[in-house]
Amino acid sequence: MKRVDRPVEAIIKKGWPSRIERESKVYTTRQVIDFWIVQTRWWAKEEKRIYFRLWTDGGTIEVYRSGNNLWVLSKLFD
Amino acid sequence: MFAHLHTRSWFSFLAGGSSPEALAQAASKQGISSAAITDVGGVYGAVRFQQACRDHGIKSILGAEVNVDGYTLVLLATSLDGYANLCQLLTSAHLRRRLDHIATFDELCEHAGDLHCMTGARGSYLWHLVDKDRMEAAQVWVQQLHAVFGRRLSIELSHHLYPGDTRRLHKLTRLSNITYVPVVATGDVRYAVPEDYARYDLVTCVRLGITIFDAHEERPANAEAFLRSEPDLYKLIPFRHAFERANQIAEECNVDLLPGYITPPAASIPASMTAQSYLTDLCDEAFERRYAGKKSRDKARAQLTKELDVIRRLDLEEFFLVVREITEESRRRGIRCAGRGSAANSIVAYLLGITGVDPLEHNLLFERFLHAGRRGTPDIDVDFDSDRRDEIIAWMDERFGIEQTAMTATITTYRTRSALRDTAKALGWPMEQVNRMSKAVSPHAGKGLDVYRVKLEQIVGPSPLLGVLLERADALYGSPRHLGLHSGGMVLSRKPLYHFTPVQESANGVKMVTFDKDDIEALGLVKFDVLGLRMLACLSEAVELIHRHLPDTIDIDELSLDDIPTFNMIRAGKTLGVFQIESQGQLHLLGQHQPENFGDLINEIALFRPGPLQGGMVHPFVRRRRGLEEVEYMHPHLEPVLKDTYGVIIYQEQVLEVAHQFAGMSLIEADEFRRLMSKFRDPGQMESMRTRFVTGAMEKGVPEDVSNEVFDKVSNFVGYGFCRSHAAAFAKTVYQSAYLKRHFAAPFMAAFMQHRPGFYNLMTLEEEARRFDVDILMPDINRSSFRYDLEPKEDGTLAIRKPLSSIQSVTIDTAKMIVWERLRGPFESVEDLYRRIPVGIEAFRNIARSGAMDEIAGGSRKALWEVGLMARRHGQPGANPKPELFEEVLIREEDIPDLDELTTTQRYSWDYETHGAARTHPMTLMRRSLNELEIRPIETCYQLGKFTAVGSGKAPTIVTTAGLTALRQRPITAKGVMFVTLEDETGMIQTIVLPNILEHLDHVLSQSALIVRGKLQVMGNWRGLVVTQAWPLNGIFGGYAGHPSMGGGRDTFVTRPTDAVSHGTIPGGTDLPEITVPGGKSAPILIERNEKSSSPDNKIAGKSPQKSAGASNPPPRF
Repeated sequence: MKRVDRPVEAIIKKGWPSRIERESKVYTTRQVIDFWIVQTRWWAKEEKRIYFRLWTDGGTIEVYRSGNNLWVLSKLFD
Repeated sequence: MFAHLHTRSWFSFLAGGSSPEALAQAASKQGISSAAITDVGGVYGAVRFQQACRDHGIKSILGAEVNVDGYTLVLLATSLDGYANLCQLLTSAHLRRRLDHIATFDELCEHAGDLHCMTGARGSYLWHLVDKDRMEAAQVWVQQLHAVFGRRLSIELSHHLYPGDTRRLHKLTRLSNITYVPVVATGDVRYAVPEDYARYDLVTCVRLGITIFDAHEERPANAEAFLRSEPDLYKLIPFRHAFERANQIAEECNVDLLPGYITPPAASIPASMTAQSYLTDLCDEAFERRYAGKKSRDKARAQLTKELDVIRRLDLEEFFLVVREITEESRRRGIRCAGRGSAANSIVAYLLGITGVDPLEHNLLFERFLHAGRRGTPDIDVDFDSDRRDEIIAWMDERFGIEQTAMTATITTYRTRSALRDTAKALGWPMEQVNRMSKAVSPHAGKGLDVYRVKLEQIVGPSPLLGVLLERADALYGSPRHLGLHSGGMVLSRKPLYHFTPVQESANGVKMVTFDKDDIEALGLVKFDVLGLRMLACLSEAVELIHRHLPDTIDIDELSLDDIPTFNMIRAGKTLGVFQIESQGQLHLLGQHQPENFGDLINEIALFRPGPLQGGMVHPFVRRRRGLEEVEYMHPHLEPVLKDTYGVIIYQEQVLEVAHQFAGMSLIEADEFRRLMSKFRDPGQMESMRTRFVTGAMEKGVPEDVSNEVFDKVSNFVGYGFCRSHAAAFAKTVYQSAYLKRHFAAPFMAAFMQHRPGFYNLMTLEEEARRFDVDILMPDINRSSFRYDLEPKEDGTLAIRKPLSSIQSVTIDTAKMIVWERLRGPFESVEDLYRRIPVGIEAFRNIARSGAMDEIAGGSRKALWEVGLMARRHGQPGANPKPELFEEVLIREEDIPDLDELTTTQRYSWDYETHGAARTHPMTLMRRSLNELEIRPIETCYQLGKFTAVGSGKAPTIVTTAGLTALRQRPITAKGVMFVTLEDETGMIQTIVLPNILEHLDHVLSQSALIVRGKLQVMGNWRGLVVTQAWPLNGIFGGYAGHPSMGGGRDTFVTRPTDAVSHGTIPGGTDLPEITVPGGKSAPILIERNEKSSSPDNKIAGKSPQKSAGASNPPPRF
């Protein structure tokens, strides 16, 4: 597993990320493995992050959408 | 259509984030058809939830998260039998382990009937197994549960948008396919709306004792556990059959806990009679006794008929018979009891002996107690002798059945300070700062902590979390924190209590139901208040002492209520020790009001309540009562209602009558009006009530502005006023205690010191006894008992003998042991005592220092010396009670040196330290010097008012006096004024310290002995001093202010006169204190500032305002 934490472009279909583009690399979603939400620091008005673990043609990746609608590639799995 | 079957409310006690009402509202908003309440380990919110669901047109389902062998299952009752099973299971769990309430699997099997079981979500055993991929074990567990619940078992599916939740759903669905146990979709709801998530997380941190910055698996990771609509939830749990199963379960669950009628416990009724005929018979019989030959007989008969009719219509006959049975049993056992509260409005209660006040004689209104439209049970509160209250409770357990009785609970909710404290701790502030913040906030402040922002910022400095603290503490306000024990409400049930409620143990081991009094009433159960009142114990013991020591016999229940010497004593303000009218505030009121008869006493008690006090009703009442002011009515229609209180509202009954007669409401509506305004006031309801009130009054021809004015007056009053019946019932005890004090001072004061129902310290009580010519005899090892007792003196009068248990470190058990041992023969020497009594050496030393061994040792110093010798030569006290045959005497004459007698000062010090009061008032030691300094005895203040004109139109009389601080009070109604009661050997006086003076003299006024100078106030026999200057008394003696002998052995700071201004001792800094010294010259005196007392934590301002601070004083040094 490798932490990335870089902004990416995401194409959304029916609410799910179907395609993730990072620099020249493109990941096409084959299956949504899991999704979850993290929002803990209410006292600091922390934004809600929606995480997706995706099985893509480039392997398993984890992306999240932050409160201001930015998509971030969080992790790459071997 | 969807049913939410797994929902926690904030009655999960720090494990849920929203009220039952908020959940019902959210469910309604989301189009949910049925909702369950499933709180952790109980059904605490069930009644409120069911009421709220009714209001919102939702079907309510009752259940709970039950911990079985350490893991959670969710159980839902399908019927009342199922609910009873659930309650039994919860009871077993709670009674086994109070804090973590774990039921066993066997108990689950025993009580599974009519219960639906869901396997549970987070924290359940099934999730635990599935998450560990132990699918076979999971299958076994499901099959085990299936064997217990059969088709009433469901595998719970829920999704909180946590990592792994989706995967788990699929695993559980597969498990369902294997085991044929259906899946059910739930929200596992922890709060109603996402906005409540912060509160949920915060209380979770409070419960776990962690800060919000600490990680913990039980803390929520997001705000997704709110109550979702069906489509929303379906997106997370896309299994239609799981939703259908939820609806199917909801259809099968039909429990209604709110019957709309009461079920009284079964009364003992003769076989040939019905409850109604028996009640009528008892009343008739008593009627003949009570009203024979009375003028009010016909009126009383009509009233009785009316009341019996209302009682019959409400089906309350058995309720009255049960209460009568309890009071009868109490009297049969010689346990004094007295009914109070609104029950005293009832002639039936009076005739049954439940209350002692004739309602007709005192114009008491039955409708305040009961009317045909009343829902629920009427409140009948009975006070019992506090010493023997437990006997009655034990009898009730036996009489009504151990399964049918338990105490009522109270829901302890967050108030301002507790909310601030818990929030601040959870936000990570250190305890020292938390304590300071908590002290900075008024305990009586409501929501809206933002007004304290500046104050709190001064304590914690600028912090980004301060805003969060204020916001979150406000959000916490009013939510339940834990379940407590009601002070006296005992639930009596016809059926075993598990049909209504689980039973659990309070922190001190008392069995209690899990609902508060309002819920109890809604359940149709009867609560009976068994309250312990120390004054009743005092009266009982005083009567026992009279009967034991005097030839008189007395029945204080049958006293004529017009004894002139008793009223003279009351008017003279010599009421220290008299029930309800001994406080300085009451003494002041007595001075103005000057009660002359029993009716006046009732008014006196009712006047001294926040309602009349804050509503500005006391002054007009007293002035009108004394003919100093015209009686006026806001409208002539009010005259019939307020005539006997001179146009002033002082009773709740009058509020009811105003609503009825003035605003044209029915008595039922009027009582509803009264109830609404005496509880939490919803602004919307208040406005609609105003409209109803004003419209009704206008229909009767009252102008709109007057109607509004009357409404405002009435609504300001209600919550804090007495009902007349309650005041009347209390007045009887007032009169009884006053009568005993006036005619039997020695027995009364002895009993009073034994039970200490008031708030004065022992020193003050002993002085008061002396002022009533009763001597106080010191503890004596061969004479004292373990209770206060009387001893005849040579002149035939009685003195009070202090008990051995009054000595420091001598417990009541030790005192009893000494008395038991003394039955074998008196103690002849210290050695004899030491050998026979096995108590700690500290207790022995205190007994010696108290003077209790003086008779056998020849003095306290010698006694103490001998105790020391015995400790060295004999070892443990109580060992070898008899000397061995050839054992030598351990203490010989030559072992005792010539020890000086104690000086008077030392004697008083030892008295004070070992048994709480000196044998003579310590101020006598200083009198000569004080006289020379023209510091007057307190008695002078009384003489001045008596023989010289003081007050209106004249320059104020300035008096300087001194005394020990007996009490320090800052009532919340007094707007920052502090009252300090001083006492010397001649009497007591209340001093009044205005806020601007207090600001400067706070550190002085916290001293235990004071000199004060002030303007004398005279009100009848009451005297007060409005303080202008104050000094610590110990500044006078010893040559300089900080003499170690006066400062507890420590030097204290001395502030020179020139420093006084900079210390701001006197407002303005120019008015240096002066006293007249012999020779007529004025000289400034030294002002002492004790370092310790000037620290903020020691200031009275930081203490709870209603509490008396007198008791916390260190003993004065002589």
